[in-house]
Amino acid sequence: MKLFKFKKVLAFVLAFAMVAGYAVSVSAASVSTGSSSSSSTFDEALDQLNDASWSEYYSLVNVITRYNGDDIVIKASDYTGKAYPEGFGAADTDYDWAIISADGKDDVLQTPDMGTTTWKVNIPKDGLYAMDIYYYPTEAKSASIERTLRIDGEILYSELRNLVMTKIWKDQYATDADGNIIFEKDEATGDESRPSKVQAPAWSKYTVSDSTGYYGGEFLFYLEAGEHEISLEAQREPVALDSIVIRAPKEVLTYADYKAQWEAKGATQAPSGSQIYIPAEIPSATSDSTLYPAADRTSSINESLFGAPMSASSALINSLGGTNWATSGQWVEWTFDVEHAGFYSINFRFSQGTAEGVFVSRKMYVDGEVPFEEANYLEFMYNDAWQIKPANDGKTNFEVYLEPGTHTIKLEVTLGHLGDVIQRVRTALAGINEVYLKILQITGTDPDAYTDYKFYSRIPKEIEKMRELANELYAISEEFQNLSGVTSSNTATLENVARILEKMAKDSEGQIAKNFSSLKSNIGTLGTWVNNIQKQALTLDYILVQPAGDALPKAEANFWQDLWFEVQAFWFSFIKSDDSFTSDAEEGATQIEVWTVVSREYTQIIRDMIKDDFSKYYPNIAVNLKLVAGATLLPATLAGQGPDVMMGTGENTVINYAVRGALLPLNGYEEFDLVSSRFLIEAMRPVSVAVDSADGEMRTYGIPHTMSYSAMFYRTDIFAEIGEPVPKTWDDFRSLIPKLQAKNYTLGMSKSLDMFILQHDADIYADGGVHIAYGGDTQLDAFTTMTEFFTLYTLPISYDASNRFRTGEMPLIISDLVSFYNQFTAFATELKGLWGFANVPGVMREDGTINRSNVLAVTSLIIMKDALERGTDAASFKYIEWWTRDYIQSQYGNELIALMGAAAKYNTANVKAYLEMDWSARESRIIMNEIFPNLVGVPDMPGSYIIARYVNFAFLAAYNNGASPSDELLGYVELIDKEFDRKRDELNRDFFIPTESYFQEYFKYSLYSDNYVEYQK
Amino acid sequence: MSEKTVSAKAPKTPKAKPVARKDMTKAQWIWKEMKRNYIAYIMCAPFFLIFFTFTILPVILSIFYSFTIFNLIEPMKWIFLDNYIRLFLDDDIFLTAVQNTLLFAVIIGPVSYLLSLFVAWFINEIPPKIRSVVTLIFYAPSISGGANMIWGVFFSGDSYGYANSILMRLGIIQSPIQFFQNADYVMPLCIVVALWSSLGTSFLSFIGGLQTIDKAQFEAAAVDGIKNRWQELWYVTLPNMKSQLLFGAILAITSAFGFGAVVDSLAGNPSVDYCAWTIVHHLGDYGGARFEVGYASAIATILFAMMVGSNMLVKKILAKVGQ
Repeated sequence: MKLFKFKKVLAFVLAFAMVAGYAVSVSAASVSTGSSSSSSTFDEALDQLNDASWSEYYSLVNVITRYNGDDIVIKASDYTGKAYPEGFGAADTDYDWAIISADGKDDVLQTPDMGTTTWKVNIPKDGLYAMDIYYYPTEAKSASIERTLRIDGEILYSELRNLVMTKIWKDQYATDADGNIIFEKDEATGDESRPSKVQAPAWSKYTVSDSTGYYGGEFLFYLEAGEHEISLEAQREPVALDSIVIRAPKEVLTYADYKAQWEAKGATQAPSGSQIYIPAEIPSATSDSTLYPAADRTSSINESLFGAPMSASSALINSLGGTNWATSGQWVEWTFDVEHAGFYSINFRFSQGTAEGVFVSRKMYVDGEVPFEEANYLEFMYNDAWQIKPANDGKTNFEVYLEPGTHTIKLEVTLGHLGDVIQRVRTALAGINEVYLKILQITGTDPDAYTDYKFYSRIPKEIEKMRELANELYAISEEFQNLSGVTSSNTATLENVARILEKMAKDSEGQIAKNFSSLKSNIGTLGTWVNNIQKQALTLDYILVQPAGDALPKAEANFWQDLWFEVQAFWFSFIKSDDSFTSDAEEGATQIEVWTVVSREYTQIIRDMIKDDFSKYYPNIAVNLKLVAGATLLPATLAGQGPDVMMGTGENTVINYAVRGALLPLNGYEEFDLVSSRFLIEAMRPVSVAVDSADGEMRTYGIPHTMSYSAMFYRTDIFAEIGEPVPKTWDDFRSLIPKLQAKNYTLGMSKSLDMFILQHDADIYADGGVHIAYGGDTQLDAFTTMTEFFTLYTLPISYDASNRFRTGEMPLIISDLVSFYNQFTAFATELKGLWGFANVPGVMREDGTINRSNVLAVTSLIIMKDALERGTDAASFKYIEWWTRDYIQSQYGNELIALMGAAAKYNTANVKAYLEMDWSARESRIIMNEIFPNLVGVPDMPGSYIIARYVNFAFLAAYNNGASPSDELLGYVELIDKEFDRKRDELNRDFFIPTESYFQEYFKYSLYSDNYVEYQK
Repeated sequence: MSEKTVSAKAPKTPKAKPVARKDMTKAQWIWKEMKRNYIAYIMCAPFFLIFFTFTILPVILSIFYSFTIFNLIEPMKWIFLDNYIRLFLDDDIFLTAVQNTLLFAVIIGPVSYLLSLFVAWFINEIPPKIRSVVTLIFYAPSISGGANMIWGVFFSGDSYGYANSILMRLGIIQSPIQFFQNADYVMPLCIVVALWSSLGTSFLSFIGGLQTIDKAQFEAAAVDGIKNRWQELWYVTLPNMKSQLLFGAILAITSAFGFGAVVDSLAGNPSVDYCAWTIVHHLGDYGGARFEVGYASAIATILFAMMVGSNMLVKKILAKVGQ
């Protein structure tokens, strides 16, 4: 009986606990909307579509005699023309044209990161020529230098659009007492940290060749005798040029010839035992800042510096490469000394476990030259385990002849023998896409299998093309099989698409409609396939240069070695913690606690930066950095165990905590003005309030950390085809809708009422934030305008943006800039260059100007009030000041790219660092000139959470039930105001939105403020 | 039961004067009994401490907080019954929530309970090997946590969602229906999904209960004149598994009143026009998004009271089983 009673209590309490423990978080996502572009984009896009490729060009010209005379040298400083792109001038760049001296060479030409430079040259006779450019990579952003080459104003083939000259990066190694290279060790954990990388510009030779890695050799040009004009148009980065050399194409030297040549000179095998061991983790130079050494733990016999064994407890740096070293053009160079002359075999201990069933390729340079033709195509075959193999091209193992002395060996990513196959798949894919869009225009996205679409008479050409494409794909698949030697999922992908196309071509009327959607999904699959197969990831542990006859060490550990290592590693995983870290500091330093919610890898980066940079500036502040879950902030604050600084909190959190007194206002701290000068003034708006009245004391409770806003993405190829400009106003947008819908396209819009209201020059809040202003006529009109896009124009509410943008079904999508940009760059590489973005469309004012306001949202760094009691508040603000510095934010962005690849742009709120990121010149112009001036921050007020909820209800009522949008919204205005009033009654502090003039004056140092004053330190 | 075992083993002290129950007050008696069985108390102390700290204390605290204004950051203010007054007199949405919760509870609680019971009963008739497979099939939806998301895909508002795509192909609708953004559809769909995933722990305990029944009882019942399977179920099977029935009932009530996660994952939070807003949502909204812990505690207290009440009701009903 007692037991039963107990059970009853237990049951009740359990039941209650289950319910009470369940908390719901409300997040009302509001995304915003928008538009623009010039017609030049479309011409470019069309040109690009019509360009011949190098292989087509080559098949036309390869019968022509190659030039074999002396080099024709054009001195760069003898340029005959220079021009900035339209609307730009010397003021827009830090690197105007100038004759300068660089690294020992005088009289060289500096060219800016935009604009075209032209030279004139006399060609002695008709023939095929190759071209070298001698350049000096001026220190600038971390991106590689990109140029477009025109000869007599023409782009001879499409590959000349993006010629890439790499920069040179060197590691700053530490050395021990004996002068040997070592990595710095963390005292507590024993982990090694990688050295920092710096640009080390030096004069280099660039042979004009394919930057995408599809073609191995150098590019050739057919030039007639007489005067020609050569021009280089800058796409990215400035560069200093010494000369452009037009010369005879290089003779092809095969490996057999190479060996015979040296043997004829009496060269023999190097003496047995003359072994040179090169740890891969200490290259002498690399092409990218992201090619850094790493601690690989996939094998228990990986070797750290000079053969040191793995450690189960700490992360020792032991390898280089991986997914960071996978893009064509990236190279790594090692230096080594040879004692005895002779033929050497170059052996690599490597792991290639990413390109399943196929090899990855590298181009090998010895002492700066590719020694023989086959060295363009070194292959590293797939295997789960580590391998140790001599340099080979899949058939022959190569040896190179080395004289005593210092040599370099350089490996460059290329697509090797796969290049041709991939190029063919890409061409086929473009063809399939064209056919797909053509059918889409006839049938719409969801064709009916029983409708007679009359395909035979309407698209006979496309049907024929499908047949050709099917055959081409079958042929490619066969070739692929021959190359890799195995059947794999790779060929299955190709054949699937071929089969569908074959079916559709054979019985068009019956099969096209039926298989249309599977064709669509297969286009996606094929695109992804092309994407993946181009990634040439390779990890190297060490390089052994030794005579071919000498035995090689074991490639992999045995089972017991692995087991023992894993057991130890498992054990240490309980002991070592990566979640918390404290930086070194002087005795008696102030200790501040910083919390972050980003992932572990990100935290590692922040930690390294604190260690390397922060402790230099503030040796008297020790930072304790902790990785936490976001939800812990509230309970920790409640318990008085909160941090001093919290990184990356949302706008609403800032205001919610601030209005309850949990945050410190940051205005009073030294250097607040300096810090605020790093951001857009609009980024300060969501984190600043006036206390007690709209012109009361200004309090800024957070310092912007990241920012986000929408942009309008568009497919240049589709817009070029339909011949419409990208909309600048909503009227343009509206008139575009039927034109696109007639061709079965649609548009992707997001719902952002605030954006529409701002574009109508109206307010969101009334009475300084005490009430909502949605009840005004203009505001209600704005809401009606927005709603009608979905009701009247039937734009879809839910859709998968990146997929629909990729297939072209939605050639225009309004979406968050950085996240969509990142996602799409990584996801649809086959569309590179075929899409762009612009600011959201706007509303035409009576005076003819267009209001293209766009909503800006930020996350912030905040200081908790406990810091004041602990006396750590000033130190905490110093940390914030340091973290938001331009170079720190730039460096953090670069490190993220290094970690996750080029598609990991970081949306820092620091304006300079934001623009420093790897945008093309065109993109940064759009951001800087078109988007930034139009951004508007929307403040949060106590009770703001209710707004998005009720706006959504009003919208859905109008959408689902056909109710009048303005009536619906008006009905909710009262409820929103009621919530606002209630909150104000409950809270002890009264926050207001500062008046505009007060706000502008207060943040006059912030960028784009009305009263902008440059901050003088 | 454990008490008996322990007391049997506890050493008797023969020297002490025998004391009768009537010689002392109740408190004295309890104290004496506790001292005698102290080992049992020691043994359950670790569990009790944890249980008290993390379950009972929060309940008490929450009732306490329900009389205050408290935002977790600033000190609380004592306001007596204001929260309750506001809850019942000045909060329309709470009334919607109560209405929805009761609707969910009335439909989902009993239906899922009966469903569990009958499915368990049917499955019990199947040969053991097949039975375990069938059990897994029925149990699977509730163990695979986010599995109800497939309903989200099926009824996606995208024109490529399965339901929309099929309906559009058949020419029934012209533009996609926003199933989970439309008040007409949210409630029925959520109920269906909740039922689909409701064959959970109670279902398993029913199967367990059915299998522990002594076969002899069925034979005895047959001899005593049971006419059909229904009578067998009512007079033999169910009375034998009353404890499982109670367990299942408590779970059903808890999940029916605590219903909310399914709505969140399908229709978002808040569901359109609060059409599927339950008390749990209201609680989470005030406790989480609005920093009004006092008010949220008042909601929790009322929910607690509702659960206790319905639990008593269920027990009364269960007492009638087999009579």
